[in-house]
Amino acid sequence: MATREAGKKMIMLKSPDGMEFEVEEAVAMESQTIRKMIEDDCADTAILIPNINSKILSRVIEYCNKHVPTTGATGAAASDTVAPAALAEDLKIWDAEFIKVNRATRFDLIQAASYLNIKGLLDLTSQTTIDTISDNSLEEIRSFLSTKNDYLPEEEQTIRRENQWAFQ
Amino acid sequence: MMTSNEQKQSNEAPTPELPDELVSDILTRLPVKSLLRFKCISKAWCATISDPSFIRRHLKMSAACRWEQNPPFLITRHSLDYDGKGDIGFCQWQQGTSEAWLVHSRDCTSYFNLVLFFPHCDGLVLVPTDTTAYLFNPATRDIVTLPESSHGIVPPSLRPIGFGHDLRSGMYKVVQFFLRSRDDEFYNGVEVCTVGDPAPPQWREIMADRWYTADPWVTAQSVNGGVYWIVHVDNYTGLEPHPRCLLRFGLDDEALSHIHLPSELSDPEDDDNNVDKSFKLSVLQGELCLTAYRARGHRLMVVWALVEDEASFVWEPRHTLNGMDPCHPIAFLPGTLLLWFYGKLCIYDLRSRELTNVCDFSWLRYRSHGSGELEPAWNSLPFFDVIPYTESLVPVGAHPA
Repeated sequence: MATREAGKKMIMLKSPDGMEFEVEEAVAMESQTIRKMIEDDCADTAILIPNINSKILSRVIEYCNKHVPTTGATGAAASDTVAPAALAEDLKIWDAEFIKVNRATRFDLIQAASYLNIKGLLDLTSQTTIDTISDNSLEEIRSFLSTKNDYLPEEEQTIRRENQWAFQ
Repeated sequence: MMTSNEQKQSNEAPTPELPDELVSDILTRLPVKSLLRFKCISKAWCATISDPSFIRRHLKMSAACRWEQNPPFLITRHSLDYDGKGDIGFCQWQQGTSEAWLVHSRDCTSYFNLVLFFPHCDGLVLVPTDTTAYLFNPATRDIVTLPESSHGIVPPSLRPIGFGHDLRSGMYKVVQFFLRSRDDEFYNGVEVCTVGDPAPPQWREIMADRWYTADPWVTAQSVNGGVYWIVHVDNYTGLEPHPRCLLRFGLDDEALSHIHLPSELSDPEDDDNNVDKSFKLSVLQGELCLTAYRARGHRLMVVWALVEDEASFVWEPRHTLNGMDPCHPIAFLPGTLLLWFYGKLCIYDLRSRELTNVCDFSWLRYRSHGSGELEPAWNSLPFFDVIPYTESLVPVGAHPA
């Protein structure tokens, strides 16, 4: 099989604040956006990722590194011997740790996952946000998502009455 | 998109914000009940949640996500009480849980003795009774009462009925067969009622003087722009015998056509058994599927899928099930089929051919709204159905009761 040095194609990802990250092509291709660029031959040696600062980009790469299919990604054959169920459980625990970030970082990660089209990361960040908001009061949700209540009190009452049972 | 993001970043908002399109993406992942509550967040949220394109996206997400994890089912009670009680209720049960909960029940304040065979599509459930029919969205608690047929319906009073989503108009169309007599002869016809229009629903006759009808004792299935029934073979009306086939109603062109059975099932010599009663229709993986024993006396069951091949339809065998008692495949999950054994739900592993019990519904109990009490199950009821369910925000016309 290919060796790490010769067999694995590396890709340079650049953030707008001038940082460069060298990653394996397979890891970068966890992003469907980058995959398309590579497949369409739009990628030279370096790809500029607009709008995603180095702090967030490094976290995204960390996520992709962990989630890239295990064949050789860890550089060790050991992963072959781990049962898939155990591996999935391990990933779940890792994800839960990974997403313990403040609100601003999480929102940045959602935007990055959406722009780079990384389904797993988008699912993870969105689901965490949903878990945060679904049981909260409307006021808490408004403040969490910085949404302004533009209803007049009587308008809000009307909408509320129409869906009263959903508040029970 | 880039410029707006750049602006956002350069403005350095004091509180973190998400772009509207990402907020709406996140909202598609929420259950219907939360979304109804969230209509009160702001006018913009209310507009998003009520928007038809959001409703479609939410439906798609609801179907994809929830089915990957713990598939939800709706339990529909078939009432055969002769006290004329017009109560219709739906319970939801999720794979992996030991109890169900009451999603919605409603006293329809009309009288019917019979309610059974609930066609469903996109989170909507059609409830046909022997007097009238209702279209429910149990998740939003919307209900529309369909108007009475413009034709006198002669017994049996259960008429073949089905519905589906017409992709061309974006509307849901309910289709039913009616029967009328003229000069001592019976004729069948077909009428359609479009729901979702601002105008109140109304039946339109689209076909009359047909010789055949659909079997009212089999639930219509709807997928890919068609509604499917099994053609009726009972000759109660003195109509001509019919070839064994399916009936397909095209939701866009409103045309009724015949679809032949898989060739293994249409042997003319093999007509002493009522084949129409012995095969099942279901929608699995977005395809209309027909399940039947391949040869009489054998317990080898085959699931065929209907595939559109240019202008015609062909049956392709999808799965074979060995040593199987009569059952109805109701859902496909990767590598497995969920089989309904009339009271019991089992999972069949297509590779190992193992059958595992998932839930015995006769012992299942349910919880009603806000009640800590577990209600007695429906084992006292003669019949109930369990249908794969995708909750949705799809409106039925929103006629407040």
